Amino acid sequence: MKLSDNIKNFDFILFFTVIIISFLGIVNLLGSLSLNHHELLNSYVMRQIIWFGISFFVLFAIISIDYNTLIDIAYYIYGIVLILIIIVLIKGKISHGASRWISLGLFTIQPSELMKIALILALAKYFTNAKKKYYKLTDLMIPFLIIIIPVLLIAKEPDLGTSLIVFFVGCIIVYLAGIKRVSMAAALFFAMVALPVIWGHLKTYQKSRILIFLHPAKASLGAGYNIIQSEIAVGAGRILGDGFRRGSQSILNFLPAKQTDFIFSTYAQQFGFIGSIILIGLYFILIIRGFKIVSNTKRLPAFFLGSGALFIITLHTVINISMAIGLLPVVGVPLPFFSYGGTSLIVDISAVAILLNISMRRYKYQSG
Amino acid sequence: MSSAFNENGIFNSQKKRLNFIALIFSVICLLIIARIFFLQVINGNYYYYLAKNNATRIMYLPAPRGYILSNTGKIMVDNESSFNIAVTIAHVKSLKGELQLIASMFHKKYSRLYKIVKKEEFIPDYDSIVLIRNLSIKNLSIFEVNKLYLPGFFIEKIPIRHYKYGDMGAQIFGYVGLVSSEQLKEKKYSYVNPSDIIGETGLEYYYQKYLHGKDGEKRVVVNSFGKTEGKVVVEKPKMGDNIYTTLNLTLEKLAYKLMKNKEGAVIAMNPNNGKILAMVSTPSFNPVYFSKGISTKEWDKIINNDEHPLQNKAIQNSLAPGSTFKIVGALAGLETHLITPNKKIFAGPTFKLGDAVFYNWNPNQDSKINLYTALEESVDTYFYSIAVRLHISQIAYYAHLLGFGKKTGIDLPAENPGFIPTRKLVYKVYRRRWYKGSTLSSIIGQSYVSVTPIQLIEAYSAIANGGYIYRPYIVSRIVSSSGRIVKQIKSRLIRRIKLKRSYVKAIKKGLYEVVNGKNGTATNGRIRGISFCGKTGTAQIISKTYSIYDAKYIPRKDRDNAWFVGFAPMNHPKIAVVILEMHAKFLGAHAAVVAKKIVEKYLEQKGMWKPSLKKRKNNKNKNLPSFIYTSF
Repeated sequence: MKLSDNIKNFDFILFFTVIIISFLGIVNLLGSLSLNHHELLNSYVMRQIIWFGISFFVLFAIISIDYNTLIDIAYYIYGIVLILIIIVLIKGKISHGASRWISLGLFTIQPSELMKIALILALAKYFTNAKKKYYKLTDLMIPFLIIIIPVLLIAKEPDLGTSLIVFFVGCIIVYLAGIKRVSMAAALFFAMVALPVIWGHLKTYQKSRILIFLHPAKASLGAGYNIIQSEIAVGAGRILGDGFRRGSQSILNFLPAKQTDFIFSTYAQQFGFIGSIILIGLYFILIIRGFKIVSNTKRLPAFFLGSGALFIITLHTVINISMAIGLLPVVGVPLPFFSYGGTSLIVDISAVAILLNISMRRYKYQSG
Repeated sequence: MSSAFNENGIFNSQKKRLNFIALIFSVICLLIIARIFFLQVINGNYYYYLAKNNATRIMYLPAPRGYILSNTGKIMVDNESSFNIAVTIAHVKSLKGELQLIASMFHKKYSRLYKIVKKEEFIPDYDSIVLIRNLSIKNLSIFEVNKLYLPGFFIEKIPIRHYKYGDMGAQIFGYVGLVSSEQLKEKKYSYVNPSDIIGETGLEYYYQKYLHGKDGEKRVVVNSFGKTEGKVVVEKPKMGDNIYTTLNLTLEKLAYKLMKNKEGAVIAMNPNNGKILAMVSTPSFNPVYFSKGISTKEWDKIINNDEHPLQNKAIQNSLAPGSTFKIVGALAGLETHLITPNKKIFAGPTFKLGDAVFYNWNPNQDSKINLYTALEESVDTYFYSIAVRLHISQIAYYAHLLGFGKKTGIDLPAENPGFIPTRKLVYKVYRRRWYKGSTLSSIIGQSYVSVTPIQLIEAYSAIANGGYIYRPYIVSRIVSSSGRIVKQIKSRLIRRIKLKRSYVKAIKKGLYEVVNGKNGTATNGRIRGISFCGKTGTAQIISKTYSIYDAKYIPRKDRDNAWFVGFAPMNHPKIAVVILEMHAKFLGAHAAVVAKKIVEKYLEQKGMWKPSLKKRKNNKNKNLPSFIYTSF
């Protein structure tokens, strides 16, 4: 396989969609800040641009390695990330605070975010090796552990959003691998039984977020404040939007987490329904291209790995936007290439890189 | 190949399931678009209106500050209520009329009150403006009676800092004040809201983060039609953490009583772990002035007082240590083998170095003496004869070992590091050359040498405990208002100095003789049955010498500073004390009396000493130190 073949098979539509969304993301980040906060502006926007630089480096690093090599070392990657998560937990215990970060001098990383990638690699390797048409519940012990250990550890940090994404992506891959109907029913039953236990372990603020979502009428100014302000921001954008840097909800700080969890609301107020549809359209193109790559693949490892990457991006997008418009309770999930934050950006870029990687090498294994 | 896959490597069942999930997501996507359409297109104008009139106001409810408590949990600093008259313009019927009524009721000028309201013109009508602070009980009842005629005006109850013991320990507790706009910009105050009270000095400053608590919030939404009706959501404030100090209230009170009319400082410390038992700096001030809003007159009085009441002299005042510094000389002499404890050296009334003559404080000194006598009688010429054979850097080395010349790291702000001269440092700081004569003056704690009381007590504690330098500390634990231990602060050994046991013993014996010897300089500090060791010091302020040191004839500012620093009992020390009396009427010997009283009180508390002779006889053997009967 020559380099030129790889470039020929490179999915430029997918790649440039990501570039366009990222560009909009930077513009939106600029628009979220009031003009008289120059220092803030510099730090947020410059940092994010630097993160983009780093993440494109990561992208090229990943596509230059054959995805099969990545799957070969999947368990090591998984193990390292798991250890990092444990380190973060212990560090948090010692300093008596919720700590999700490991400091790398100038920047910090969140190992829990990296687990998303580590998990799909590990599951792809497992199911490729297992090669069964249908799995019984007893066959699924190992994948269950691969999923549930990081899920519980991350929930303990506490980072419910990331924990849920890891859980859902894991479940989707298991479902794709094939699970017997009886076994599926049993799993669902166990999940139902586990629900009250999970509820008991949630933090007060997490419970109140879910309760508020279930009883919007009770959602007064207290904990429902976030959702109400977010809906006002989205709605206030109307059809054409209030214009760049004219989103009063974010400029005047009515909107909480305006650069991360509620970044979509910030965007929607500035660019209105038209802008929202354009953005959602871009994500749609991205996801459809990803879907195409996965369904065209003829190899099982590529199928599992690609699906995992695809659903990381899809779940991020769907959950983040649904949350901003009041369709889901508030959990901390980033909007890919849009939310401020380095590690989540790296994770989404890595997911794209995996899809590009598979697409580039789709003819390489055709005969195999 | 397993049966799951056909010969082309196509895995149809897996792909079917993928399509199924894709279908689910497509439906969700449609839902999202529908929802956005509903929000932005159908109801867009409604939300637009809400956003433009978003009248959510956040008012901060200040959290009560945590308490400061003694080592046994007695409250020393807490909060009390203060009452302000405040006004919400939106609820006022006739601003002019009501303001005039207020003005006549409380004898205030109408124009001044009006100015206060006008100054806040730009705040939203639903926020309150404070008009009159710290209402007396009488005025409170006057207001309550006339409340009906004053719609919009109300009494605002706010917590203010209350210092139970007034002036006592004011510099240690520190004071609080309204956060300034500069402070609000600082990163360390990121959790502070405008109009919050923060610690400005002392423990209030040092432990601000813990004492502050978490402010509550009151969110008020004025509905979108501009009507006053709105929902109010209150998030209760969370009280700050309580800090438990190591201060022994009885000793603190006693120390303050003894120093009240003097200028100086007292520290009592446990030499075995660095716990501060008492710390006093005089003259003092009442920090409550600052919490109630200090008047210009009171502020000027404090600021212009040349005895500096705001300064914590125990840690911020660096002075010549005088003869208390001789333990450094003794240690340097012993360690460099210039002297041995018993070797007698001739010490006359003067010491000649070239053309210069250095005097002994006692002109009658004229005999060969050993180290014990040199310390006991504080013989300057004995130490000159050590200093003349030492380099200043050697003296500095031993001074640094004992902790002089750098901050002790006590948990109070703005500690002074003091100054221990070396050739280089003196040139750097003063641009002066070093003369041998300065080495001689240094060894008796004059010349450039300057130390803080806290350094002195740390050094003497190290002699007392055999070479352990502990970080002095005042706060031992921080407990949340719900009783959870937030932080437990343990004693910290900074370093262990390797000292020959015989040298420590010799210096200790010399210090014992200072108080208990025949010709000791602090014999009036003797405590019956207790081996109290210590050292006096007199530090000259000016070069002028008065032929007879009698306070009556010397202006206050020219009087010497008197020191006493010591510990007891000698072999298993329980307490160390340092007394600084600035511009004292009486010298070190008198400071020893202050120290004696504090030590007695503490040992009495510990059951090691009793004031009455009769009672003591019963357990005479237990209390009498054994070394009195044994020779060294």
